[in-house]
Amino acid sequence: MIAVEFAKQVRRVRTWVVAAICIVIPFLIGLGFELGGNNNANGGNGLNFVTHQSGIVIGIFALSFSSVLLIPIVFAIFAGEPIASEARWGSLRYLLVRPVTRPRVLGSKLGVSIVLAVGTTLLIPITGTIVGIAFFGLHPVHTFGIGTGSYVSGSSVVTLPIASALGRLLLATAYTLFSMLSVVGIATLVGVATENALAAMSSGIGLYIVSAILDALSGLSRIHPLLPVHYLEAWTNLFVPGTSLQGMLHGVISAGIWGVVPLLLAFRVFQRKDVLC
Amino acid sequence: MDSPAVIEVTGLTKRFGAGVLAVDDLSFTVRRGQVVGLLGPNGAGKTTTLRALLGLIRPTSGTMAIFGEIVRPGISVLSRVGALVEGPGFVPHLSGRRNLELYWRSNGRALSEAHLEHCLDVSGLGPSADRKVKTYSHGMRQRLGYAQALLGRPELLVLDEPVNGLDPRQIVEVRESLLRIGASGTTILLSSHLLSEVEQTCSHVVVVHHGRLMQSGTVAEVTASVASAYLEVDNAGGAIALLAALPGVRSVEPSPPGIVVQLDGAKRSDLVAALVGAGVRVDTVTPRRSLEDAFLDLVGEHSV
Repeated sequence: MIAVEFAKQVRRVRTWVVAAICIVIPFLIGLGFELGGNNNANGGNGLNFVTHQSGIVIGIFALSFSSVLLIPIVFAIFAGEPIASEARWGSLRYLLVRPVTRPRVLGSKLGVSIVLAVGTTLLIPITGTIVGIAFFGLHPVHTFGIGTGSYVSGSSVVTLPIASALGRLLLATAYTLFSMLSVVGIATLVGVATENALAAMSSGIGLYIVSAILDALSGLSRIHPLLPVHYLEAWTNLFVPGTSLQGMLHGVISAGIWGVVPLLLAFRVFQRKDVLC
Repeated sequence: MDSPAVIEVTGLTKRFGAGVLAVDDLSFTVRRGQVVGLLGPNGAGKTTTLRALLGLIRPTSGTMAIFGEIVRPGISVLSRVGALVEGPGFVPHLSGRRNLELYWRSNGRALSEAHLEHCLDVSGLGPSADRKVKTYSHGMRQRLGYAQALLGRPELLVLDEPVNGLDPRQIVEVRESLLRIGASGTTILLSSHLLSEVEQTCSHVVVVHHGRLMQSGTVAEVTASVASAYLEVDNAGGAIALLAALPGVRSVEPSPPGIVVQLDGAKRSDLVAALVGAGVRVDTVTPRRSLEDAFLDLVGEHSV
């Protein structure tokens, strides 16, 4: 069932277009820094390095620039579509007139969507790092640390060895992709309920945009911790040694709730649904 | 002795939302080896009945069983059923052959059990089977859908308007294929609004209208049960007036060169006696037994 679903999705033009975008964008970011010439190492989201002269920094920037919009869009596309496109093709009913339970049908489709979304978005930091290494070589990362502990007090230059920097990038990527559970949840729920791929995709992204706006309104600071985007960039603290990583822990819990609740609802809606398409 | 029931529908009712009653207390049985036509005009509830039978929609009330197992989504006996429901549906960016392969494999069964080449032969698609489905015409998709239903030689075929959108030659091919499959002992339930199709393909018929059962039985029983007569007389105008006033006559209509009388209790001999008594000369009296008449009578088109 899962193998069959892969066979259907992998041949789609859409899958390859998304993968191509996930390769081109980090390449452009690397190129931008190469052509920029100066030593500017500002990667957005409060990320600041002493220099961008390490491939790993480009990988980090690629992740940072993509995490706000590109990665949520990719997840919304892959999560919102599977049931909706089968319904549009008229093949959903044939999937369901077989001796396969509905949770299994939805589960396989969801699993394959997540694997494809993770697979394509992983290309972003990977390509970024590879392009960065090609342009600037593989060097330790010099960043600005804050606070006390093992670091000097106040803001000071801290050197992250190659292995540590790569490990942090890996953790940051894993965290960002896990945060997408909320997009997956909403897009899947709307996709199952409306059988409309566009509606599903837009609600996944819409959830992000609306909550990003609310998150920016300081008057609403009391509800900010409840918003799914609030902890999206908490991973940047991984590159500011000495700062707290508690935001990431909250982010994992938040994404878990924002993901699991709509997903449970989606399974329930699908189980009870009258399939007319 | 009756062969065992393959499909048992008991009191099936389906209301969509708060409004339309699509199927209203429908009951019928399909026994092993029968080829049953679910006959009714468009909107009679045929597709809704088939969808409910396959577990695609939840009935508002009533129960259905296939091979003795109560229908729920994804029940195991669906592995013994081949289905074509409200037109074919395929993944457009894959070939016809690949679609059938994936459909079959997602059942978790070996491709060797599917008789894929045989089913593709029946579809008559030839080399087009290796083209992407999005390049297919409506008729080609329909034939691929029929082939998909035949994968694995199921014991029960549930087919919704199987010849819809086919040209006359293809209709004949599908009909011959259905007769062959039916003769080999496969049970078939097909829906149709085409009376001729049911008459030529089916052993039994279930007539539905406005979601309700009008009649069921063998094709011969249903046609015979509808009492009607065709008469040719020397004075059609006088005969129509006379017969319309007789007790036990539902309707009288001219059908040149004769007249058609729908009976509701009166016998054909009563008609002749009345006509002769009034001095009308009767040339021909025949019962009308085509399913077309039976059907139109059952759904009340004649009395409108």
